Amino acid sequence: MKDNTSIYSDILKSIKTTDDQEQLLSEIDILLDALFQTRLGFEKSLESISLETTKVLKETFLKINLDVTNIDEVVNFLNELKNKIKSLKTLKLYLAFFPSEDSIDKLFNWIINNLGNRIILSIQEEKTILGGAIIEFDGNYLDYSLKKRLEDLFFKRKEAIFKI
Amino acid sequence: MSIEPIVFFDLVISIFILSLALVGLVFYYGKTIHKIHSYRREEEHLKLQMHKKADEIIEEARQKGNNILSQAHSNYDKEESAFRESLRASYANQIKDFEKVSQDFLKTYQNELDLIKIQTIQVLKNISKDIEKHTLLEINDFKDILKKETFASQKIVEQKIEKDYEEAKKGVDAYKAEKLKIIDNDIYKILQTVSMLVLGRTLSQQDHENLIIDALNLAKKEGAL
Repeated sequence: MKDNTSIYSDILKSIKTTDDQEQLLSEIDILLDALFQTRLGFEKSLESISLETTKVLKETFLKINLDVTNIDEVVNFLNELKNKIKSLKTLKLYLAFFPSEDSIDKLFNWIINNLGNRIILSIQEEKTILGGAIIEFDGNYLDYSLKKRLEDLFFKRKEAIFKI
Repeated sequence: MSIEPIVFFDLVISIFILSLALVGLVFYYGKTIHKIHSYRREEEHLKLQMHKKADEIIEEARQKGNNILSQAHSNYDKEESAFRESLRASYANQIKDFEKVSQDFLKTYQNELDLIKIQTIQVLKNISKDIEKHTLLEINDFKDILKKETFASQKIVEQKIEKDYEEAKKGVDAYKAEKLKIIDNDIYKILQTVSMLVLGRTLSQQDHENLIIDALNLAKKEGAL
């Protein structure tokens, strides 16, 4: 089994938001419990998690030629995967609407293309900002909301607006 | 045993002398007792005499007292009737005198009263005239003063009204400016809110996504990401 980040990249790319992160961590824990408690084997234990996660894991194992009959190896992989998932950075976005799956995909693609695959999204709806986004990342707070832009605009051009 | 004759005679003489002394003593005692009895009899006799005399004196005194009392009583009745008669006469005389004095006094009083009344009326007439004259003078003075004061008051009031008006005008101007400022701010806020609402509602899904991507690009450009 190869031990570098690239072997987890496909799985990590499937995690777009903090909700996905929690979901996957939860499923890995369930899978680990199933492997330890039942000792029924990997294939049988996969029935306790979602089909989507099962598919991603199987594809990865096939890609890296992991021996799924070796439970210890599988467990080591899963524990390492958990650590990688937990180490992902979060970019928090306050948006005027809660985005659809398509919108999340677009935003996540922008992140993959511009910031790499080690960052996931945390999205919170804040209607009062009207549009745009407030971004929280690495301790920075950046207000690029439409509300802020309008406030700045009205403040800078107050006199001109009054003349109208 | 035989007694000497001399001694015997001495004894006989002694007994004889003692017998004589005893006889003398008895005789003296009897005489004294008799004298005491006679004194007692005399004492009783004197007591009887004294009682008798005292009774006589008391009786005489009582008799005299009765006489005096009866005489005094008789005199008292006479004196009393005389006194009453005298008192009645004196009373009648006094009433007559008082009536006469009262009549005289009443007459004098009436005369004096009439005189005072006439004088008082005269004085009052004089006083009324004086008061009227004095009052007219006072009224005239008051009128003059009132005219002067009225003119002065009018001037003061005019000045005060003018001053108050200026102060009120300043207050109104300040209030007006403050209200205009508040209205300006409110208009600004209303305009801002309306703009925001209109913009917020007119943005499409694509516009929103573009704005978010723009925000991310800007953050990256500024080095925040």
